[in-house]
Amino acid sequence: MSAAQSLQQQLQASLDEFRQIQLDVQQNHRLRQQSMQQQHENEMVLQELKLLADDAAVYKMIGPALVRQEPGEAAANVGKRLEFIGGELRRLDGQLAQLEEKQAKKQAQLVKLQQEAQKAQQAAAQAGAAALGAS
Amino acid sequence: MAGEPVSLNALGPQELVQVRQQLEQELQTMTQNAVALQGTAGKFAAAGQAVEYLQEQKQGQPVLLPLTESLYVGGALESVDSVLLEVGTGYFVERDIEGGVDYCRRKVLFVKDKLEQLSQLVKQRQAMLAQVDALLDQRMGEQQAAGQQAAAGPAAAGQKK
Repeated sequence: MSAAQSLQQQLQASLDEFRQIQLDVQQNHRLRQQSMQQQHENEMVLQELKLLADDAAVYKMIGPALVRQEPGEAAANVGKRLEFIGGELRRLDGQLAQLEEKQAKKQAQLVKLQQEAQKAQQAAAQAGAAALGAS
Repeated sequence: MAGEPVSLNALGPQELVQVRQQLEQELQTMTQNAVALQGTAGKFAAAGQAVEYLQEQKQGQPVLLPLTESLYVGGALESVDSVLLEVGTGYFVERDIEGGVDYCRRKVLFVKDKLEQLSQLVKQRQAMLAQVDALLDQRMGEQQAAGQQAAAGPAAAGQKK
């Protein structure tokens, strides 16, 4: 009885962990999508900045104000941001691979536990039937 | 995202219904996105026209500026030969009229291009949906026929009108 209970507990715990991993994967997808959007936008800005003459007027919006910036400096800033976003994307990719590996492992574990639980249940049912027959 | 190479024939009716739902959902999102893109293209086109219109005006030309949708204040055009473009992520760039018109034109083309890609995807999904629908119909027919056959044995006399 207690063996079956502990098995059930184990199963529940594994299931919870599995769900948590799934949530993490979803979160990872969201973050990645966000980063990719930023990447696209920054790429477009960089393209636009590259078309400018060296003495062109570039403004950066800081709060409600537009502040004048050197085109070269602006391009460098955007380039740096792109680098950062690229790094973030790589990090997220690594994390995703890790999570997927963890997920697969958890799933295998879950299947095993479920089979064990089923077996235990069957055994218990048989034992119960035998006991009923004996009495 | 990639279309499933799994044969649809291998799926049961319930799974087919699921696939159908998923396809429908995707189609809906895509259509919404297409509408948004359409709107964006329109906005860029309008902005380009506004810049072109500005070119035809003279410096000092009196204008009414909209403060709100229904409140306007008087003003005069200070400059008719340069515009400030918002290029994204908080950056603004000052360009001459041609630069502004060109920017808007490029953006319209860019958005139209994406729209074209999207409509290809939509067509693809629609074809898949039609396929699933046809198969689902077929399955239903088979099921019904099987059910009738099973019922036809003992109650054949009662079944026929």
